[in-house]
Amino acid sequence: MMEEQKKSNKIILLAPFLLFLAMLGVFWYSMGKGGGSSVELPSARLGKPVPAFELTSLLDSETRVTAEDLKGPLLLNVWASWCPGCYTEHGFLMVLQKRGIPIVGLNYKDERQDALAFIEKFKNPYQQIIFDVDGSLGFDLGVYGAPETYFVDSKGTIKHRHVGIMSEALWEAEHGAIWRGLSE
Amino acid sequence: MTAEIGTISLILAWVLSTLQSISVFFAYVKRHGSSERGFHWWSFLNLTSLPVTFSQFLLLSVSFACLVHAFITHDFSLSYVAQNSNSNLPFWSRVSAVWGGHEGSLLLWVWVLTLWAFMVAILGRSLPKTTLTLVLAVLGLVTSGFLSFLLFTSNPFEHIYPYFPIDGNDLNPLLQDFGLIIHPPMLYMGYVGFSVAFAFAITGLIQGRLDVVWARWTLPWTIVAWAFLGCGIALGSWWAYYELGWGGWWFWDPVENASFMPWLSGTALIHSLAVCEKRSAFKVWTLFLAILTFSLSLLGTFLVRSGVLTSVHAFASDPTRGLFILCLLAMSVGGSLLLFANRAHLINNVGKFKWLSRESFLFANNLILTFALFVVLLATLYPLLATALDLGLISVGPPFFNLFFVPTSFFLLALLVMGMSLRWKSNPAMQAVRQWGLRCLIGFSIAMLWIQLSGFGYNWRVILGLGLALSVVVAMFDDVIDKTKHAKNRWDGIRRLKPSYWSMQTCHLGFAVSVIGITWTGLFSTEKDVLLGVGETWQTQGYEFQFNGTQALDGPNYNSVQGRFEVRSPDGALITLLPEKRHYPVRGDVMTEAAIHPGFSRDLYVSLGEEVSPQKWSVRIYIKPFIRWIWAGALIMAIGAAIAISDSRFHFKKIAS
Amino acid sequence: MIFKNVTRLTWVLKPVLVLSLMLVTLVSHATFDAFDFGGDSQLEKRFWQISETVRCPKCQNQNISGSNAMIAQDMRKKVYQLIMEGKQDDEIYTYLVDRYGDFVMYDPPVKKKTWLLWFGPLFILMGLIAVWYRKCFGGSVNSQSASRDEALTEAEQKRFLKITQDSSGHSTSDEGRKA
Repeated sequence: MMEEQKKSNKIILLAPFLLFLAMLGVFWYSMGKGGGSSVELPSARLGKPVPAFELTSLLDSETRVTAEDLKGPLLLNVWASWCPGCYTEHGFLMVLQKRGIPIVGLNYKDERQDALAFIEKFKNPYQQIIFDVDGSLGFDLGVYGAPETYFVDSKGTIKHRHVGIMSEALWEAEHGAIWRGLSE
Repeated sequence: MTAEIGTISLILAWVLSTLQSISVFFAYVKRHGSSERGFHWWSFLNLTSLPVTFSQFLLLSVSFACLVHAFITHDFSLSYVAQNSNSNLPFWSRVSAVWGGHEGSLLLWVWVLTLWAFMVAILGRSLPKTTLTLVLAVLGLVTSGFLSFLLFTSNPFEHIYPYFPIDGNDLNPLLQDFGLIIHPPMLYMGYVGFSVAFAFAITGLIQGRLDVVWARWTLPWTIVAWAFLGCGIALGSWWAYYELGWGGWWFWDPVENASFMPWLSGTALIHSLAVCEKRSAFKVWTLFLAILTFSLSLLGTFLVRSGVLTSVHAFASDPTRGLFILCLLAMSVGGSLLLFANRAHLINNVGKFKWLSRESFLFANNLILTFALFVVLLATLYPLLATALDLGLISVGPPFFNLFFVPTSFFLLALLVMGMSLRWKSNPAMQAVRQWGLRCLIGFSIAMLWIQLSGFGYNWRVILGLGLALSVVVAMFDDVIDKTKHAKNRWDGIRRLKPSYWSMQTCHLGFAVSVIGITWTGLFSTEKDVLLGVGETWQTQGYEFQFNGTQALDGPNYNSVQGRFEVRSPDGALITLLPEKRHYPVRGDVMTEAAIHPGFSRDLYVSLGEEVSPQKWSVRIYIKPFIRWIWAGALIMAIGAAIAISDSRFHFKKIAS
Repeated sequence: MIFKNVTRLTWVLKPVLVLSLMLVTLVSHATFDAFDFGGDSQLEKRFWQISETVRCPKCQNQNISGSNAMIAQDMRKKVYQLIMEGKQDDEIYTYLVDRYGDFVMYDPPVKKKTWLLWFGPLFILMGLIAVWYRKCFGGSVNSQSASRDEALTEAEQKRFLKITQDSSGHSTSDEGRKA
């Protein structure tokens, strides 16, 4: 009886140490992943179709654009003239366009003149640009900051999202493979 | 030149502390083989422990002074100074910027540690030599660990050669404030102060003995550390309130929780030590709490600087640093918990008690505090756990914390109403129930009256919160009456009550006062966003806010737009409030400076939004009832702590040789 | 240096600076709007309650009520719209979660992935109650066993009491105090 009690006491005394080891494991793992503020929010719309919308084109305010026009495979790139990262990203978008990858632009909460001036000055990598002046489509997509890039498949389903500037390095590392998977 | 002196001092201190701890532990293990040489070696270590500890304190002071000097003289060749200062920064802000970033605040941390160690060395001269040497060696080991962290990953004296900037990046405007002067130092005094109880606990485990002397020794150190930490937390809350511009005073933010957990554990530790001291019970539990409390301080340091948590209060993160702290954490906490698991069975308890007794209620208090602590820990770390297990990104915020914490506090208060009067070992049941019933009756009656007079309306939360807090206050008076009923006359009886008794009452009073403030402000704050044009007014609860336009202003390193509000209060007084929107050109930050009119029974709080159309601004207005009581309560608790250490039972005389 | 020159020209630059401050604010750094609830304080109260429990997706741990970020203000506008449309609280939360994920809920949902969070405390509580019960009702075996370590000997106790005497000669040990 004493022996059993001694044993159970020993286990109780060891418990805090074991719990601490478990906690260390969690920290180790999350540090490996690079935690905290640098983490991208995973999209809540993955696997869902592009939400229904009806907006105009940036380049021609008479043309209507709807979700039907977003049957891919294509990239949907959220950008704006007030977004500094979009200037950085633009060069790579031109590269992608040259490789034949269809990119549709979503001009997010911008002034028409400013956006048009941007395109004039830096050239147009998009086959189409949706003019989302109050960000309603952006909101339905779950956009929380520009730039963002959505990967849409042939059925119009959102397969993947990248938040932040898209670059050659990132494309090589991760997104290029996803694109290839989409476009097969 | 000063930077080099700073680094060299750190290196010397590091060598000293490492040597101290290694040689002491090694010698202690070996001394049981008692040779003549071993004995002389141990005597040598005993003799040198005070000078060695003092030297570390001296060296750290020199190093710290060098960093302060670098900031005052705008030495932008040091990357830390360049990142956190600017030639336009006002003098006092330059000094407090020393601990405004990671490296400098860590230096402050270590300096405070050597300060505490030195205090222990001086005031502990009447302790048995072996014990004191061991305690100082444990503190030396912690010092050594943190100095390694400083020197290898976070040296504040690092240079940017050969091209260093003409001017610095400027201190984050949020930190250019009085709060930065006192909040971190107070916090660190608290965090680090718990290392003393920790060192005593480890020593007790090493020596395999724990007696009532141990408890009485540890108690005053723990009380002081607890008081500093409590003040630090309250200061942080007050600072966030007036600085961040959205009227909140506690957000259950991970960094806030990191400071709150050691405080909860420290509170449990103090209560447990009190039992340990008087009744020689709960020793193993107390040991565990002593280790836990400092471990939580270390955990807090890790969480805040490693980048694993998302918070406005967190330091800039760096993977190497995070890894280093993680190793430090693993070794120190892991090591102590392992030691605990191994050696705690050597400690034995003596006292027995019934379920209705002071011991049992204090134990319940401890368990409830531990419960609260673990819920806060679980909830704070859960988002990390979820990410680690690939469950996606989850947030755990105020709704969750409040759901568990509020009932827990209510239960603690309910226990306190009766607990403060219970006898040791056993208490007659009927007497306890009668006391409890009477006190609650009076307390709740006063509460209902107060609610009625306030005009805010009833709900179960305000009734419970206010009722229980006031019952505690009633209980305090009733207890004094009870304790003096056998004296010749009341005054004589009161005079005979010890400082330790008064400190207990004061601290509990502080707790009740804070709860009252939290209850009122949490439930009945008024918050409103309005669009006001110049000359327009908005009214609520008898207050009339009139917007009288804006003007442009200049500060030493910012430009601002200042709004003018005239507020007429229900009693006819006219109050002027001047909120600002400041632009800091160097960093490009825009800061909202809220205008607050503090009061005994309410705060008025106004902050500017934006100019929506010419001369028409969006404005945020708050009325916060009794919010100052929250911080007043913390102050009262600190006063209680000060009263506690004035008790002569903590004043040890040197043993007559 | 540069800043000194600026202060000299402030009478020209101040209005320009202030104006550009406004532009910067309006375009990329919107601050809060004041919404009109038509005098309905219930709706307004719900609005504040919801805004204070929804997390801003891109901030360092802030709710949408306390954040200046554009997305926070957009979400606030949306919450306002939905409240005025007559939607219930849980419908509004669902609307936001559908687009931004569980991350924006400060009150974590009770799903399989949060079971440990919601039910863990319950288990801890039961465990602690068990510990209290055992300590207070189960007569401890420990207290009987001869302590091999630290009970002070007679001489040591005398010495300890001597150390803790205050200057007036009264013993400060308080066993005698009525509790």
